[in-house]
Amino acid sequence: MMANTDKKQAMRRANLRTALVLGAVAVGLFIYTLVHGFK
Amino acid sequence: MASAHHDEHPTGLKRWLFTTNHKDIGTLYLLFSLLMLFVGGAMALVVRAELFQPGLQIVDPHFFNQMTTMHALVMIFGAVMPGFVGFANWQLPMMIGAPDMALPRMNNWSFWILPFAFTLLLSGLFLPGGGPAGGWTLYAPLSTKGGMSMDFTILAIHMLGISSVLGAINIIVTVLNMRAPGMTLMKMPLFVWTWLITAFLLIAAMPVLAGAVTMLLTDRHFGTHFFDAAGGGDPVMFQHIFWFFGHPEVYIMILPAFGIASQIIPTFARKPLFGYESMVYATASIAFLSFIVWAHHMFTVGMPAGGELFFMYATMLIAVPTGVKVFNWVATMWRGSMTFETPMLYAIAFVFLFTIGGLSGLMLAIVPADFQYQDTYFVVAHFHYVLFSGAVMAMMGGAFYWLPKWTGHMYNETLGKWHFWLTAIFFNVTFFPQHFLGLAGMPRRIPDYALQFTEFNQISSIGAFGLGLSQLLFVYIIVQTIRGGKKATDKVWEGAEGLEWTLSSPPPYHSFVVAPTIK
Repeated sequence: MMANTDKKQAMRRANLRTALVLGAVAVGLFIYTLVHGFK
Repeated sequence: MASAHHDEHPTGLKRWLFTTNHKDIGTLYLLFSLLMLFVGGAMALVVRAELFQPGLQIVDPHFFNQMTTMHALVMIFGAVMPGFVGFANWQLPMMIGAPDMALPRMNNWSFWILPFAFTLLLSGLFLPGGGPAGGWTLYAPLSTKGGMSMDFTILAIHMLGISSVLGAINIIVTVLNMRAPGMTLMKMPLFVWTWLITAFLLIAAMPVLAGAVTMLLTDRHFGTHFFDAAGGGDPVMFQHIFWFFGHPEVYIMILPAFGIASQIIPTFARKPLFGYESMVYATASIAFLSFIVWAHHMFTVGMPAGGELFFMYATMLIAVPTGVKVFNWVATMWRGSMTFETPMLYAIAFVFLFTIGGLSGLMLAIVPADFQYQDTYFVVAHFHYVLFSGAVMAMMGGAFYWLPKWTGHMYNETLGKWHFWLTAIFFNVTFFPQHFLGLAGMPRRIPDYALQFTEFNQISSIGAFGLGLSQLLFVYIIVQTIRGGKKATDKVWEGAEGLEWTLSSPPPYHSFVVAPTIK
């Protein structure tokens, strides 16, 4: 039971990490587009 | 697979408002998409009614322009994209053996942004000056000078972009992190592959659109001149930025359709998909190429010959991986034990009609020819062959294919076939004549036209009303299937392969509580 909960927590952390990286890429592209506009 | 405990869920309005279940959210997306199909379709019928005869009959030109603009925005962002996300929500976890999407609360939020965004977008029609009327491409200076509804549109596009990016993040995380043991990337069903690649396209393309409309907003209200030539800006830059989003967007709307066709055809040909690996690589190649062809939408703005040649050849290059796909679908059917149930009819029509749209796309890719075709009805015919007989008909095929699994009931096959033939015939009656109109020089986005275009326009308008009315049958079949009918087996289709068919029909509320092992 304990091992199962740990596994779930690890999966949640991994999911959150991947989501944050992808979200950062999206926000980065948005900012890059705006910066491009100032050129 | 699941105990009774796992089938417990809230009921009533609460179930749908607060749901974090991928099947419920999939259903919400699909119903929303169907609603938007009718809203956008009604707008198209206003356009076709006006174009039944030359001269101005039914609506004033400004309202006509609002209808063409809103039809496109509603269909693209309201019908096609949410429709495919609905399929992804229902199918992806079941296909990879996951209990749900990776980020279920975010999934709920992704959906519930949509009704508010579309309320905002559609309410623009009732503001002073009416809705946006400069085309879905929102080209400056039409969009920088438009009325208040343009601000509503910009905010709605921001919300839709956030919804799409959150949905895409959820899909990538689910596919990368939540596959059942043994489900390697190269064992994933092709629908999962096409959606994984589409999700990356969404993350790369939607923020660019958000950037473009943010600049529109600051040009309109905060004194910037990004797209204003008088202030040192450049309206052509808007077109470059818009189409850098816009062309990948075209593939965002077609890659999942490729995935659906790749699921249906092997089932009814009773053969494994021919060239699975080449299908994956072809999809990835198309996705990569989609980022280096954007300027083929704007050959006539005037660019160096080197640029025109580059974009022409790069565009033509897309025909290679697309050809690989079409070859593989046909090769899958070759000498298969084929039967022609409704989903298969849709899949075959998809391959045939999408190829016609692809070929007219190749004609448009040729720079000197494009100078003639630009902004004519030929373009309208081209993208409706890609988007209606491509994206929408693939979704209809997918709906008939998975509806027995989702509802636990078989749909009425006779009515399904009627729906297919009515849709396929009326679609061609509507859009095939538009090729001739375009080649003869009829411009798009106009409420009036020269007399010589009358006959083809009348055929097209009759087809459009037939196509619209046929979709009422689609709704009837869906409602009938949800309410009852012959019990569907777990496998539903004799030739079906994949994890979703190992679950009961309908599947339990929480599927794959224990991950299956894939050999």
